Amino acid sequence: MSQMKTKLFFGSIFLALFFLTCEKIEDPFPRELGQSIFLNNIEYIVDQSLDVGTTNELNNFIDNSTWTSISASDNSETRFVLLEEFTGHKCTFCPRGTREIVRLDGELGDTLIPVGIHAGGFALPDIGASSYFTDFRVEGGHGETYNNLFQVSSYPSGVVSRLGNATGSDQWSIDINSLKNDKPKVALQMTNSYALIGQKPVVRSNIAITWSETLPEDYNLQMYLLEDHILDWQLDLGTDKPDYDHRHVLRKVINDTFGKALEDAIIGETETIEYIFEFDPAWKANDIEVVAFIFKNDDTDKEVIQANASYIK
Amino acid sequence: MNLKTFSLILLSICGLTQVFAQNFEQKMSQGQIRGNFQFDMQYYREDSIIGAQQPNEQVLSNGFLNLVYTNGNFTTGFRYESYQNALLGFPEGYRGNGITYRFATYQKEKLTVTAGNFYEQFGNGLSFRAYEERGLGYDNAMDGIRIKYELMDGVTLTGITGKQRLFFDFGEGIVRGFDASVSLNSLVPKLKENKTKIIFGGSAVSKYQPDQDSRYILPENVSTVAGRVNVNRGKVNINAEYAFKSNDPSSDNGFIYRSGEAMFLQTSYSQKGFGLVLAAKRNDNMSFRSDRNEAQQNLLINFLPALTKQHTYNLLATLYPYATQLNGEIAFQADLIYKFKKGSLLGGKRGMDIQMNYSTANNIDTTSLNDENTLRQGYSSDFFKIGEVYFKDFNFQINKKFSKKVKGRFTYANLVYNQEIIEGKPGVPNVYANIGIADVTYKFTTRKSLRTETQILFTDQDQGDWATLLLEYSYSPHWFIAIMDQYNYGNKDSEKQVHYYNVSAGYNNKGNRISMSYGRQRAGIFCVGGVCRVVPASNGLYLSVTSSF
Repeated sequence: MSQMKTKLFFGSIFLALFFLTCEKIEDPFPRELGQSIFLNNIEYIVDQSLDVGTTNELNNFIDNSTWTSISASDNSETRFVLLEEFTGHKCTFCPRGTREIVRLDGELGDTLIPVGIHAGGFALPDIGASSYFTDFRVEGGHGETYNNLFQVSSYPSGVVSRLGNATGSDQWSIDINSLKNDKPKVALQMTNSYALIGQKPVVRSNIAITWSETLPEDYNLQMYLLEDHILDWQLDLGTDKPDYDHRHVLRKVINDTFGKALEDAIIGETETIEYIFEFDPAWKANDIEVVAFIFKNDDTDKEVIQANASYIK
Repeated sequence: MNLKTFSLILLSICGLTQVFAQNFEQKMSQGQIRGNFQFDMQYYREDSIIGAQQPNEQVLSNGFLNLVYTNGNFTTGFRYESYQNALLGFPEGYRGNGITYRFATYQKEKLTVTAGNFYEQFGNGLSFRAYEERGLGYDNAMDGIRIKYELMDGVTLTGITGKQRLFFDFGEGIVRGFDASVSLNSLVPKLKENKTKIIFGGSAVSKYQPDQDSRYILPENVSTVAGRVNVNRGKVNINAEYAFKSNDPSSDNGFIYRSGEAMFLQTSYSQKGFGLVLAAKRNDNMSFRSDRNEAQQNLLINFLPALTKQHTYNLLATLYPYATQLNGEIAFQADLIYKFKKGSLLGGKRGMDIQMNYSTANNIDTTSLNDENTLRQGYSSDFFKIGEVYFKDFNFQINKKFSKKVKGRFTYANLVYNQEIIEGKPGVPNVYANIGIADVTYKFTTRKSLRTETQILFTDQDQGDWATLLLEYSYSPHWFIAIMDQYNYGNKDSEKQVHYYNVSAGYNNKGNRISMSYGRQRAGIFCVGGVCRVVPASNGLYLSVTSSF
């Protein structure tokens, strides 16, 4: 009888495992999407933490602060290329990837938008330790999702404008060269405005999307916030470096893992969206960049067709 | 090691290898190979009168070969499929050749393990059913692992995991499932001899698919749990199952987060010459696929049986058949079979069978919650309220042998068919149809017979009235030849009052069958168990070869 009980016991555990594998979603909408307010043909998407819900509140919020503005380069005639690099502070070979990015950046200037995504085992922080204690992984688990989506199997890896899966750094310049001379299908203009409201650093990132072609596919707009030049620990070819210069680190995914669905792509039409959000005051405002890019919203093809980036001040 | 020792070792290895090879050969020869083959090919002609297209390939074909090798407790097999390209009406995804099904299974005492592809069903299928229906192009075979274990006498556990077939590929989602079936009479010694036999069971099935959606937070793991019981005592049988599905936003339900549920109840009574089956079903938001963005018949994990009669006569079976509505329906069915004895008033000298069937399917009651921008629960539903009519079918059939040479089967059916919902044609009215069929066979000799089918369908809606005449001459057991004409004489558009003629012939011999036909095929819907495929109009030459061994 005891044997029977044992069997039933293990059987119940087995069964319970399957019962547990479901998730109840209480709120279907991603929190990062914020509050949408339409005003003067612009869709303002405001972080819920800023407590702006009406057009009057929005007007007051904008008018009562002093903003400094900076615009990104014009890409109406050039296809800008996004390079998402997967890295980790305990990945000894990853600095090679960063050096390749710095080299490419110097060569291509504004037309290359690099993003450093810390994900995977090498990115785990040593909590409470005297080194490698900083968690560079972006909040919300987005980095791990991208890491899995682009099938990162070694580090450093990177995906150029999301052309298939991530590859080693030798492939990046080849992929970039295959895209950079393409005629852009869309122009993505960006103007960032920055203000310190109380103790909160706030950014208004205004994105104007103008289609140069009519396209049948669905496209999404993705917004990232990066911090450049973070000096912290990094294992570099076997050497522990406490003041390594971490470049273009993804700090915040502004509009959730896969961004915001855009209106239909019709030649000549412009869609303007302004994201208003705050960021961690501990991050250096002088090194904060906003990245925006447009990619195909398809399960098997997420190619980025245009990108842009700008610092906030 | 000197040369002599080396030579001895080499000879020993060669000898052992030979012995092993002989043993292996001997062992293998104890097994059995079974298989079946089918090849269908059609040459298409353009026929503008019936709207039949000629594809660029002009000739299309479907073919497959199943081979299964069994040796003791070990079984392995595969299926090779070829679509060059698929016959019109089959899903476009079937293109090319390949081995689409392969498996190995062995049984050791109470454990049975399968690796590779497998079909499986838990209970009535409300939570899980992987199966193939070749005529529909339906195949959601699993590719993964299945373990069955007989925990104790009367208790069987089944665990499965894998991905589902999608044409020549697999769906994105991973399916995991567990089922337990318990025979109370085997488990409890006191009940062993009891006349009431009770079997109950439960299953849990979950799927995993990553959330890559930009609009909503989607559950990456969705599960369905189900409980069932089957009670049998003498002539009475009761079969009931209930399934519950957690929030599963999908393209089927418009990405709402409402949970789903399904209930199935069937009772039957049977004795010699009399049978009665009563069944009821209610399903609410129970589409369950391993890819939330898929549609049609692709990647369905569960199966919701249709409570409607599966007709075989052409006009009844393919003009207005019912397709299960996954998003919600309430259905009832009553099926009666009665045999009038020989010598009775109605039975006459040779007896008579009657079958009566009534089935109905309606939408569930729904009240919109207008919460698209908040919780997205979609609607509320009163469990016992019934919504708009989807389908009604009252039919009866009489089987009568008039003499040694003449027998007949006479059918009447009255249908109500919600074309707007079932076929997804907005704005079209419900079809109300009356159908009469006389199927009479005259036997010239024991081997030679002539069968005639006369069918007529009356309706004021859709394409109007139809008539069908079929003459089929059989020279058993090998040959048959048939000629058929379907005539849409009641179509309000006189140009569409078309004859669909067709001539066919076939030869059967010891498991082989070859048949050919030439003529027009009317556009229609082919359904099996509430799962349907739209068949386009065609005109041409059709060849079919089947074989089994």
